[in-house]
Amino acid sequence: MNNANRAEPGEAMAAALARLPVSRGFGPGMGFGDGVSGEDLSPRPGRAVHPGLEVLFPSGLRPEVYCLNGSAQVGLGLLLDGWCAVVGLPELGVEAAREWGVELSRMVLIPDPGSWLETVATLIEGLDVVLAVAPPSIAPAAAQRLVARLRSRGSSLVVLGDWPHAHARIDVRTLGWQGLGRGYGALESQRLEVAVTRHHSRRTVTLVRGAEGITVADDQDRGSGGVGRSPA
Amino acid sequence: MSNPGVGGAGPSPRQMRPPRVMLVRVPDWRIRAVQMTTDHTDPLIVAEKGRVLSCCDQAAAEGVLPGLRVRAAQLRCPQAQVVSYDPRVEEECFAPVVARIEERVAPRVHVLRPGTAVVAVGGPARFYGGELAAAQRLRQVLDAEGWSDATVGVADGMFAAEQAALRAGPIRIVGAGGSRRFLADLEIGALIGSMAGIGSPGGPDSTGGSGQGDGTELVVALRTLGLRTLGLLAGLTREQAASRFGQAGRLAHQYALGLDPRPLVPHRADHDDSVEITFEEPVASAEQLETLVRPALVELIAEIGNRGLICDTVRIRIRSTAGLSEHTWRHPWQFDSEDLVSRVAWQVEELPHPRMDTAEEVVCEYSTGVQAVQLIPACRPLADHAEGLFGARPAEHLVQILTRLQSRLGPSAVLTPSVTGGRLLTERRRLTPFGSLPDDGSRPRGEQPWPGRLTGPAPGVIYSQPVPARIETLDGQPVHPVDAAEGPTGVDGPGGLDAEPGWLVIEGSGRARVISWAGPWPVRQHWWTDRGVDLNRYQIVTADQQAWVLVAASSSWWAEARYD
Repeated sequence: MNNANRAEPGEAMAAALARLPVSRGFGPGMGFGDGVSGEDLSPRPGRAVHPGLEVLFPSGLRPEVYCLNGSAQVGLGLLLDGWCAVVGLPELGVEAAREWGVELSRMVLIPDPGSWLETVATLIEGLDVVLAVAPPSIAPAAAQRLVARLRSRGSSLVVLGDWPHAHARIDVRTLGWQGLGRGYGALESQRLEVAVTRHHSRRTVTLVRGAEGITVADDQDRGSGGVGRSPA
Repeated sequence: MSNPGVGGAGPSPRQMRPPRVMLVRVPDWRIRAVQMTTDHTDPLIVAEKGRVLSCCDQAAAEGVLPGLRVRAAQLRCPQAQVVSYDPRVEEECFAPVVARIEERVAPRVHVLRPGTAVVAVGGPARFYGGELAAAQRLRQVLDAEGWSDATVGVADGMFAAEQAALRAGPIRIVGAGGSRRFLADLEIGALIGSMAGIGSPGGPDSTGGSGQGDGTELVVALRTLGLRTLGLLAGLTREQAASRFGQAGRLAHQYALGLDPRPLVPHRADHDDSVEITFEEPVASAEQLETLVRPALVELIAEIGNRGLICDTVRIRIRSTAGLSEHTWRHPWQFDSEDLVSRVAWQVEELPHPRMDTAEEVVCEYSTGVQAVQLIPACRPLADHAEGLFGARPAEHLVQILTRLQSRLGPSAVLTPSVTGGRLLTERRRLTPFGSLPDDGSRPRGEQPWPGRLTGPAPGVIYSQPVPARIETLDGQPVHPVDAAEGPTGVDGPGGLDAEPGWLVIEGSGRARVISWAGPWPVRQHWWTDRGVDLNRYQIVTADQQAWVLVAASSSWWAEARYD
């Protein structure tokens, strides 16, 4: 399990300091009562994500809503910290989840959620990160209440698709596949561009996903890839 | 199932022949227990309420008798150590012996009293080839434990078997139906010690006295009346015995007739923790059922926990108006009482029931009535099970949340994933309802390489049902796979296809240009059965940078997975 502590110490420190005096039991990232899954209540900078995504989430995954467009598998890279649930993806590749570093024994799948809002609201009461397909529709008031609950519980919600006023938006694009030719070879690796847009600032990273795992691409000169920040 | 009573073991009808049993008795257990647990040396006297209960041979030789006042006994044998009676010590000392019998002879042992154990002889006799062989086996087991002077009696009913064991050297078998004849010659005093549990002798002519409840008063009364043997007592009618000597007399009379009414109740509950809950009226409401079963299940789990055990497998039998339903539920960690309640509820939900017309009623009403619920838990020591197969048990509130979700959406709506062996991608993914284990109980695997495994990253989307697909050339002609095993490949087209692919058409996903492809990778599985799989797998990347795993069976194409 990788911890996001080492990403951008300045921001992490600032976040920790901001919470320190008043946050016992009340601040975001805190659970009610006996804490989140028995973890200690010391302030921490959000939930750890896959190392390849750390540059996009310098202070970890916060208790808010992320909406993810494009390849859903990148959402698996956000399910590394604590208990997670995947809602409404009956065809999720479990091996892919393992490649992204998800601890399968702390993962539950709810292929058919029935009432989306009720199921997701139930899950965030106890689980730490929920990856869910977007609801068919959600009333703004219900969405607002859900976000408030996320904050008080300290859980994160990653929605595949649209969400009214999401805190951050994750866009994933496959840049290309290596290894497969016209009639020969075999798939070896995938190049992915992942971009996170938050408050008009955008960070991108290019990942290489191969049999050995997911790493940040060495060459950052290709396409619009590379780690960088640019005004959106 | 037919007997709804608790444990199914009420008093049998009077004239029914008692079960044929094998009884083993270690003499002077009370003294042995003291010797085992203290450093006292003989002579020993075990006393309760100022009277002698038991004494060792040495003290007996000095004239100490059971029933004597301790003061008087000490006068006769001044050097004797007097130990107060402690039934728990006796039980604890006997428990290992019982465990040994359970393990080596017969699983269900009835402890008549510490030092005396009874098993039904039928099973061991069948297994060891006769009652004598079974009795010898039992003797051997006791001998190996160091109780070489244990004696074994086999008879109909525990009373006769005990009398046989008392007169055994070291094995005595009273033939089937011969208990009354065997008992007839015995002195009436044989009843003493077997009347415990009846309480003070009832009846109008109860001679008062200090009712020890061990039958002494009754025996004295019988002797006074000249009934000096059990045979003479058996000669009375039941009415005579009951009216003259009350409840104790009636029991003694039954003993004398060889009709011991006491049932065999296995001592060690973990061999029979089964709980049976029966309802006079079939229960049709989910909440009502849960409310009715909950107390018994709370008690069951508490009792299992008190013994330092946990329950991770339970067999639930449900008798309902729709018939009998049986299911074994397994738990990755351990069942608590709420888990058991929910398993009962799930199983009831799965009962066949005719659809109701109004959807609202279906929510909370079963149209079938539940008549009885039986749970047969399998327990293990807690220490064996500190970590479940799926890691440590999650926090309690998490379990509650997920269980609540399961009760709303159905048990298989909340799944735990694991990776298992297999060649087809759907087979490699195993989904198990949260809070249960796969039927084979196997540990999640998948670390080892499997033949036919795809190279590269794992696909993000795996279709449970393969999606029909087509591959076309640029001018729309269908492209067929070339069987890897047949004919020279690469002649008609590269990559195991009979023509260069131009378009990939996935049902429901539209058309896309093929930019690269390769194959075939043959998948042969279960080829020795009718369900055999004989497929060729291809990888295809389309112009929109989607990568696919296609399988070709004969000449049709299916999408097995997408890389996402």
